[in-house]
Amino acid sequence: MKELILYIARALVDNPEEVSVMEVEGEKTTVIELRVAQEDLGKVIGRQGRTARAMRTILNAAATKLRKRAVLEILE
Amino acid sequence: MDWIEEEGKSIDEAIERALSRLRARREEVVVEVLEENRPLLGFFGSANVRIRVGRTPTTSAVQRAVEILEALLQRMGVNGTAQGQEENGTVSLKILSSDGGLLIGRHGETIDALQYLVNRIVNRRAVGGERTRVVIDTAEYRERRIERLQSLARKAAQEVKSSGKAVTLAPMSSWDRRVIHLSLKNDRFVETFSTGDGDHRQVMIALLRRREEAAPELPNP
Repeated sequence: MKELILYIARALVDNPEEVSVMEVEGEKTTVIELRVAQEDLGKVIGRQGRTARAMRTILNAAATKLRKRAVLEILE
Repeated sequence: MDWIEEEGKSIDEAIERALSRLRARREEVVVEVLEENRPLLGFFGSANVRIRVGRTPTTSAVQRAVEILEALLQRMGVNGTAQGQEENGTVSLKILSSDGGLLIGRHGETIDALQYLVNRIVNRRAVGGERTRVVIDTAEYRERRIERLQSLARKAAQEVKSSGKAVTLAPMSSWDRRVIHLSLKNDRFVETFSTGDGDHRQVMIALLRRREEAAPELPNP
């Protein structure tokens, strides 16, 4: 799941080397923390949060496949 | 290939400048060193290099879209391959996978999200009118959705004609709205337009009044 978000974020931003993703495993839910360069925040959030929503939807599908729950946090 | 020339104190610096001018990544360009002046005896004068940098010919839009989609599928843990074809600037991708249901998602939200992201990534550096439209389907999901939307459009148009009142459809994505607009484009009695903002954009179907009052239907010249 980490690799998935890393791939998408790197493909969208202008500063791929500044993308980092942490996977924090909880008992039931895994939190995926995404950090990007300040100027790239808009690129991973998108107009009206559309890009972030699409990433969350795909992450959910990937988590379902693993019989897990995952949430994406975009950190500033 | 188009080349640009750049200078710098070191090759790396010159490359860095060229990349930011081209808005390209290192792996997307070829670099040739034109001139490299080493400082005399190591400390007289400063090093200076001149390079030329060209963007490698881009792979076809279909190829890029297929690669991006397959990379996503693989990282989603989904077994599947993608096939694509291009027609009139639209790339159509089909996913062959045993995880069809998972890929489609509730009300098609997963396949829509995939389609949206692949579009964003493919068109990342597109400027102006150079955008490629990518449509992703699996297990004929989208074909069936097109049929459903077309029948919805026909029924709504029928209602408009018999009641004379405009009908507003539920909010839907731009892709869905486009299907509705296109399917009623040739109906001489109704016109369609989108109203509302963002996620709440809806198609409105109204009776086309007498010709002179109606908004002219303008096929692009």
